[in-house]
This record gives sequence, structure tokens and C-alpha cells, in this order.
Amino acid sequence: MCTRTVLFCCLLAVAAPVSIKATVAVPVEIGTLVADAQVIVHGRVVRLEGRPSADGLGIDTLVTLEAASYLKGDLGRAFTFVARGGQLGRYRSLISGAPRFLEGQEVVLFLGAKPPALPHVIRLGQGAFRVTVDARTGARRIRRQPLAGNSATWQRVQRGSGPADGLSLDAFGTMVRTAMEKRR
Amino acid sequence: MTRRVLARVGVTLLVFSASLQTGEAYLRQSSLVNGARVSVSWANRTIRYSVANVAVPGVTVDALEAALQRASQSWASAAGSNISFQYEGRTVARPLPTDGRNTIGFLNVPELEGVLGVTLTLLDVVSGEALESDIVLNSASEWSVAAAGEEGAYDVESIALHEMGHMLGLDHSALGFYEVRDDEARLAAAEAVMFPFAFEPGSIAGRTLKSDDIAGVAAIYPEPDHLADTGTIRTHVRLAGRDAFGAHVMAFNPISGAMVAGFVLENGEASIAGLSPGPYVLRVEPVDDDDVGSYFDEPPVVDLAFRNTFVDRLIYVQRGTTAGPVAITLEAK
Repeated sequence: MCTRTVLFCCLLAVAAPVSIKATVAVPVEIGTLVADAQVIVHGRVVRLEGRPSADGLGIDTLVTLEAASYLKGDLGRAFTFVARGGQLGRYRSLISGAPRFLEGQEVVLFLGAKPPALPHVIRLGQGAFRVTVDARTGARRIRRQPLAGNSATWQRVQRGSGPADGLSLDAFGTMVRTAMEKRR
Repeated sequence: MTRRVLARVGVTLLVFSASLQTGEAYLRQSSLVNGARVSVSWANRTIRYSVANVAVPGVTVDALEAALQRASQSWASAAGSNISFQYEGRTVARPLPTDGRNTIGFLNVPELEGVLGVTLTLLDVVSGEALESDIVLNSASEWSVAAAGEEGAYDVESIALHEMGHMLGLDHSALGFYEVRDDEARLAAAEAVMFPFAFEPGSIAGRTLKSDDIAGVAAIYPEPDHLADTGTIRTHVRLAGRDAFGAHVMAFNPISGAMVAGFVLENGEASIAGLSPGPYVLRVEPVDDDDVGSYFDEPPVVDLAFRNTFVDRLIYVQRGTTAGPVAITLEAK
């Protein structure tokens, strides 16, 4: 039996579903994210600043976002939200699953925004979608597949099966607006 | 193809399918400091913790203590590792950082809707030493300690086992997949307790560490003989003529069923340690169904635009040695 045949068998076996439980957060479909968020915004991170968390949960990061467009709500041209985890000097508060940001990064964020509290990304990393910008064409794309169902039966999300370079920002916006309409 | 060869293919498939019940994968918590990745660990291998004196419906403080002791014992019993927990009793303190005490307990954090548990680790980024680690179990959820689980409630021991993995310095595993239908998503399968998402409430399957989790904790706190008893696979992964970053590399042993995974980090390298001797199949995939920026400090680009790739030969791991670096070239989409 040739090695390639063995490997192909491995591929089939690895693709077969198994049922084992893991923990931390509950995965949500894009419609739930849309419904839960008060604000959905596309923009660019322009400033990061660590600070002691106001509620005692370690160190937070104040993230200033320059908004390019809103799909839901409006917080103005630039605003600051709070991200869990951050660094002060040589000390860092690390929270696995919380989105980490970089200055200059473009993102689409699903935010909880209930004043007087600062806005925050909902459901940790599930509420953050990173955007890549094609340096040549300026085309913007969402890097990960949103969990989006369009069937009455359960369908597996195939890792790596998304389109090359992800989803265009316009297509993502359409997906969000469709989900909003559906929930009205 | 002869009958004998067909039989071997059948046996191979059977072994591979069965082996998925014992998969493994791990990623260490780390911080990028001046371009260098510093991994998190405790200086003292006995981790002390207290329990916040707060009960929730269905879970007394006594029951919480017992569940946490079972979870801590699971980690302390992990093969190849040398780590233990020491319970220091109840406290009126909340499970919040910067009081110098590792506290575990229930707390209501409204903005963490949909999050069952969170571990907050305070560390020195220069040394990587964990200074304090607190675990919040979100009291907004329904909880249970029932031996067989309880419909509609999350199992304290399962969630605590995951969070204690973070306390030890493990980050999330990416071995798992989702299913979606109209307006709903759920986790269909996961191969590590350290997978970041929960199955539906009522399950108690998360009370048992997988070989992935075991390899992970042994990599951080190895017993003296662990490195001599196991082997490592090193890979060098490239995409479009440069080193890749963020790709997920899985090593699968078709004989023992062990499956261990890691991420390609700096210099296009992924190093998967703690492997039992034997042959391994390597597969590389883009984690395009989760926020990879929540897994580790990343450079501006995490590679996702490539096809799932198998290495077209078996990699043999020997005791106490490192196989590779195995050169893997990804095919761009």
C-alpha cells in the first residue's frame, strides 16, 4: 500500500466528527452577534493604552478606534472602548480568548455600549473581525469565516474552506444587514 | 489492489477513526517582548489557591470546593508532568487580580455574556513568571455539580478544568469544529479540554483531560524523564516564498491515536513536543473560523489564505530526539 493511500485514509479519518466537550464560551451565530451588539463598526485602531481595570479585573487596554463606517449604532468619528487584558510597564494581565489589538490594525467590531460604561467587544474574540487591506488595490477583506447558518439542518463549518483571502468587507456588511433585517 | 492490501486499508481507517477519541493539541500562553516570545509558567510548582465564599443556585461552596479539587487532581495526575495544587481554604475576597492570592469563584460580570469562565493571569513579561492567577466562573450562567450532569446547566468541574489549564500557562487549542444552522451555532467536536468553546449544557465529557492537554502541561512542567521518554517534531512552514505565521500544524499518530497540534510562530517554525515514539502524519490548516488574534500576540499578518496541506510522508519520532525540521510548503489559495 503506498504512503499516499495511507495519508488519504488519514485525511478521511481526521475529517470524521467526534463528540468531546470543551469549555469557556458559547459559540454564537452571526445573527446573535448582530442582535446583541449595540454598535457594529469598521475602523482602524489608532491608540492603545494600558490601565488598571475599573472593575478590578486586572489590567485593561483603552483602545481608540477611528471609525470608517457603522453598520449599527454610531459613536462618532473616533471613540475609545475597553479591551480586556493589557500591560502596564513589565506587568501584563493575560486573558486567553480576549481579542488583542495592534495600532494601525483595521477591524470590524461588535460592541456592547451602555453608558456610562465604556464600550466593549462582546463575547470576547467572537465580536472581533480583523480586516486585511490589499496594498495594491485597497480592497478590504474579513479574514475569518463568520459562523453563519442558512439551512434548517446542522451544517459543518469546514476550516480552510472559505474563499481565498476571506470575505469582502462589502459582502460582510451585506451579511450583517441581512441578519439585522431577519431579526426585526 | 489485493485482498491483503484492502484489509490493511480497512484496519488503518479503523485505527485512525478510533484514535480521534484521544486527540491532543496545545499552545502555551506567551507574550511578545521586543520581538521575542516569552512563555508563561509558575516558578513554584505547587500552585496555591483559595475559593471565594460565594454559592450560586445549584452549587454550594462545599460542592464548588470538591469540584475544584477533582479538577486540580486531574492536572496534577497528568502523565509526564510535575505540578500540583494546594488548597488554602475559603476567602471573602473576590476572584480578582492584584491581591496576591489565586482565587477561584463565582462572580457576576455582565459584560461577559456568553462567557462561562475567565482566567485572569498577571505576569512579569520579562521573565514570563506568573505572579497571580484568578478564575471567574460567570454566575450569570446556570451551573451544576451533578455526577451525571444536569440538563440546562454547565458542569463546574469541566469548566474549572479548562480554566485551571490557563492558570498553569496553557492557551487555547484549535482542535475542534463548529456546526451552524439558521440563527444557531454549536460546537460539534473538540479534541482538547483547552478548546475555547463549550458544547451544549448538561455534558460532563469535559471532566477528562485529553492527551493534547497532557502533552501541553508536560511541556511546561516536565518530569525529569519526560524529554528523554518522548520526542519532538519541528517544522519549518513556508508560504509564497516566505516564512508562514499562525498556521495550525497537527501531528497525528495512526498507531496510538495521539494527535498533537501547535501553531507556526516566529521564523515559520512550529515545534510539537511531548510526542510518544512512532510515526506521525502532519497536516497544516488555516484557523479561519476563529479569531486567531485571540490566541497569541501576532504580527500584522496571520496566514489564512492557503489550502489544507498534508505532508506526503510519515514522520518518525524517536525517544529523546527531535525529528526535522520538516520543510512544508503551503499552497496559496
